[in-house]
Amino acid sequence: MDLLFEELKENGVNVDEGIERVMGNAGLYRQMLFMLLDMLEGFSPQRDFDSSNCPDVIEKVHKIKGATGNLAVQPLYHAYMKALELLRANQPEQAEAVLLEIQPVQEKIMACIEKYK
Amino acid sequence: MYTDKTVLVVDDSEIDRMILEAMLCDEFEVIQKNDGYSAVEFLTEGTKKVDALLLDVSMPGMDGFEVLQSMKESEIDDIPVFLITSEATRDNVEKATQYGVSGFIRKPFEGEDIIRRLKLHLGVIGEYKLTKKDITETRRYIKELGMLLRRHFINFREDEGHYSRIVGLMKILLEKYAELNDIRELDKERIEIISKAGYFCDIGFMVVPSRTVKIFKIKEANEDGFQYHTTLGAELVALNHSESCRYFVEVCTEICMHHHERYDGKGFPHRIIGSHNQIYTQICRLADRFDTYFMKYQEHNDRQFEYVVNDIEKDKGFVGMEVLCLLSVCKTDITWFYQTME
Repeated sequence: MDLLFEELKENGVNVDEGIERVMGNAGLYRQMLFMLLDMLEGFSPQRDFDSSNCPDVIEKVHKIKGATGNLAVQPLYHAYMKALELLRANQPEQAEAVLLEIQPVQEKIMACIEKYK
Repeated sequence: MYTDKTVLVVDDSEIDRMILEAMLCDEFEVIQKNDGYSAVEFLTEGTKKVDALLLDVSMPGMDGFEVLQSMKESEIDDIPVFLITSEATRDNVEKATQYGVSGFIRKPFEGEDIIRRLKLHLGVIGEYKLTKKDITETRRYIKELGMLLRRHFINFREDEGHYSRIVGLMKILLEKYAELNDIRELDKERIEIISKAGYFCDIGFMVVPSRTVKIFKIKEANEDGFQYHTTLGAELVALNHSESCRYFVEVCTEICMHHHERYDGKGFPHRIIGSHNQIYTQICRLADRFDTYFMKYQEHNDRQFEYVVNDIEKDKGFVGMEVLCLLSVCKTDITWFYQTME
């Protein structure tokens, strides 16, 4: 088994579901994880929430939610889904808190993908 | 099975586009566009025939609804459109209704469901030949599922006869529809299978908690608990993955899911508009309502038949005209059917 996948599983990522979604193409799934890494690197709760550009933040959170959901990166998917709901309910502080809380997990997942890039 | 159909995927997320392509490429030719502008340009150029469009709602620049507006202005109205969205919100559904959208594709994507819905809308399902083994296996499955559902009817004192009559009515209406429209692929076996699928239209109630059913049956039909029986029914039927039963499962899933849709797009759960809802599903809807009204009368002769048909015809936008007119065309067969049932 691929070491990247093993490590991601340890961090709560449902690798099997993600690979199944791309019709069993593990190579493609791996490639998409690298793309997700770029997407995650382009968003930082501290930086983006400070910019006060709410539509931009919603757009980024929405995209990450969609990608993490499709790649079955469950811990991040659930956090970004919650954050998006709060942003749409006009509660940016609570949304930021949710994303800051998940940051350690996000960093672990990102480090894991980065290691095998 | 490669289908020779082309699907255009419009989404600004490269990951989502790649996943959809991976899911669909064995069955369809997939073309990707990463924004609304290039999609509209591609569609209006018309250099390549597009059979279906998977369109992301939320995109920077031109969003999904602006693409639909552009298509409307360019009179591109013959392509089934599925909107890609994480949430089918009330606002999205209402806007989608205005543009005659065929349905929503939720994230995370479910490959099998997307392929099944595309095939249904593109008329791919039904093209393959049913073998003797398929028919035997399907009959056996229908019998087993029917026994299960009958037990439920008995336990909850539901009117089993209503669903049996739907089967009989659907058979009459489908035969006439095939004859009038010269649809040869709608042969005897398929008509039998589709008619029998009508029996299971409300099977979703088996898995809706009985208390919820009682509460919602007396409330407005658009309450979530009542609507839920459509999707639950479809999910339940789709649990059968046997290749031999594929045709029945696909038809029955569609009927369970969409037998409460209306031609004017005001039904549920997806507010499918017009002929985007399958003819056989509309026929099931018509049979369901006709029997409910007709059985209110003690006698079932020509006069009661006319009352009921007039009543149904007053509800403009219920089913398509080509389906609605089948009742009058089949008047003799239908009244005879009820008399023999008695």
